[in-house]
Amino acid sequence: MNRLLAAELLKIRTTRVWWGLLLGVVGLTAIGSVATAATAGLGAAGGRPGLPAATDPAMLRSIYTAGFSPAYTFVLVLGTLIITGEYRHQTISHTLLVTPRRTRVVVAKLAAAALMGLVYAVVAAVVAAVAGASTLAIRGYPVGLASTSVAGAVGLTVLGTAIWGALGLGLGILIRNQIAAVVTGIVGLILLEGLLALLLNVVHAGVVAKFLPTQASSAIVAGVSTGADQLPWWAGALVLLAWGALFAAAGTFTTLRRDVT
Amino acid sequence: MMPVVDGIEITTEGLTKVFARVRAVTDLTVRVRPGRVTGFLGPNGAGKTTTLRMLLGLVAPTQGRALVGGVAYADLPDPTRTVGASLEATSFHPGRSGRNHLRVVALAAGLPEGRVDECLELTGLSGAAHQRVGGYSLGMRQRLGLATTMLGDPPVLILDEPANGLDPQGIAWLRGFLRHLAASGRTVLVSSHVLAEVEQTVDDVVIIADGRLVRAAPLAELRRGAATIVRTPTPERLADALAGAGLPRPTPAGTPGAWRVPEVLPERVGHAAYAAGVEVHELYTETDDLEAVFLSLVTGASPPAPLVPTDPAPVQP
Ligand SMILES: Nc1ncnc2c1ncn2[C@@H]1O[C@H](COP(=O)(O)OP(=O)(O)O)[C@@H](O)[C@H]1O
Ligand SMILES: [Mg+2]
Repeated sequence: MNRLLAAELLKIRTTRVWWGLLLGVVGLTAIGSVATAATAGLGAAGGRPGLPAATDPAMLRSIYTAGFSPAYTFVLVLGTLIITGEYRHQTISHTLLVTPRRTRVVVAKLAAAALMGLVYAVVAAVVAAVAGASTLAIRGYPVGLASTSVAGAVGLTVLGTAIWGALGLGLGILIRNQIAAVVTGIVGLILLEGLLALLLNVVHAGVVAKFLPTQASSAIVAGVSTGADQLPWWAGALVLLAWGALFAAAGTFTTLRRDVT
Repeated sequence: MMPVVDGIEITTEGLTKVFARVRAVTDLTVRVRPGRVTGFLGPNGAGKTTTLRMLLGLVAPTQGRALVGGVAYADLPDPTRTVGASLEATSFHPGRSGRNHLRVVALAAGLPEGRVDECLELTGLSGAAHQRVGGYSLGMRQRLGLATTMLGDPPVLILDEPANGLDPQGIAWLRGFLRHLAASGRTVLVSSHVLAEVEQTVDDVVIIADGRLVRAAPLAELRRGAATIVRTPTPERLADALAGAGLPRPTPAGTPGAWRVPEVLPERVGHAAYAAGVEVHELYTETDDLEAVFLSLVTGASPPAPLVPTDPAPVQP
């Protein structure tokens, strides 16, 4: 099994897409954390409250976890590419000739996608720390990186991103067509889902909305403190994992059982 | 050369595959022997690739079984060290180098990394090892496919149209390569839709058309299916001698003085001429007409019949 995981990671390392996606994560994270840190506490006018102050623990958390949503979005894409690329470039036959037991291939790929999520999240956390801390320092605020609430939140983004990698892989097996899978992942899971959650909240079905993947992952980060109508962080992680497992299982029973011609 | 591997047989029993609307392979029972190169022949769409994919566990048979050494591919304890396969419509990631492709396979199969460079060397790809496959010619891709099959140094080789895209020099090289593998006791199954491509390489042929077995025989036997050519200055006397021996009438064979006798065994023609004292300058089996034999075997069969006659022709994926 380790050998298969190593081979999957070698596949990822020997093409360039993971690198391009990581650059995207770095760029978006830097922009996100700088913007958040630069605008903290601004906007208060005439007694109307503005953004929370830069010393507010919740604000610090959002500065230092600014890399979470770029990281999970891009690793979702990477996860789908790990499997859909095999069909697109017709390399799936090579893979299945070496490992005819198809579920083993899926497990190795899930693990590889999750590991890549870990890598993306750690890089994003470092970028957010550097960018956010320097912005705060320039503005003359305490950096606040040492707070346990920040450390906890950042740690959970790492977990959450790893799960999103596996989720992307599950989605990719299920859909198999590369473009369709990526579009479904980004538009469906991330954009439309936000709308759906909004709608569900309007019709007072927020209970259901909490269990959607994106809502569950914001629960992972926000769950360290309050969290209005969100799951506890661990439940968010479990819900996200369940989504990943659901997609992967559905994909394994459909696409992977099919003839490879 | 002495055999260096234990021979493993490839067998299919009543192998059948029905895709949504197409009967691709029907009741195919064949035996492919070790120590020989077997040509798996048939026109495009005959079902060769589908058969090979069933053999390799990539396509599930509708009926019947396909076995390597009596075991289904998916149940082989160490598939990469047992069977080396290179399939049509299997490709490589264009952004990965040839060497990295082999490293991935070797790592997944638990083969030593040293095999990667050995196989690159073996297939003459060392110079292009670090180049991305996207820049490879079709012939180089075929070589990379072969290099992949050789990684585990397997006793069984299954190659789908390996001569496609090779130049004449490459085909000659492939011939030597496959002959060498068979001489060491390996089982070599090579598909082709052009008999001429493999004619000088194969010992046995398995010919299919429309998914059905048409002929499985040593190539030499197929050759005999042609005719005997006799060159004689006295064709009338030859005709009489043949008629006396109950053999068919000779017809002009194209070249002056040469006559074609539609008789499989040259020894019978030779004996009849000898017994009647007919002067013979040349006597040989017609071999250059093998392609015609092949064509006559595979034609006459209609295109794959749709199971639902009213449906439009299926689109090839
Ligand atoms: N995945 C598939 N779905 C439907 N029909 C297929 C599929 N693969 C092959 N076929 C059909 O099966 C027949 C045999 O194809 P194939 O095995 O590729 O032949 P060959 O390799 O001899 O050219 C053809 O009619 C082809 O169109
Ligand atoms: Mg074919």
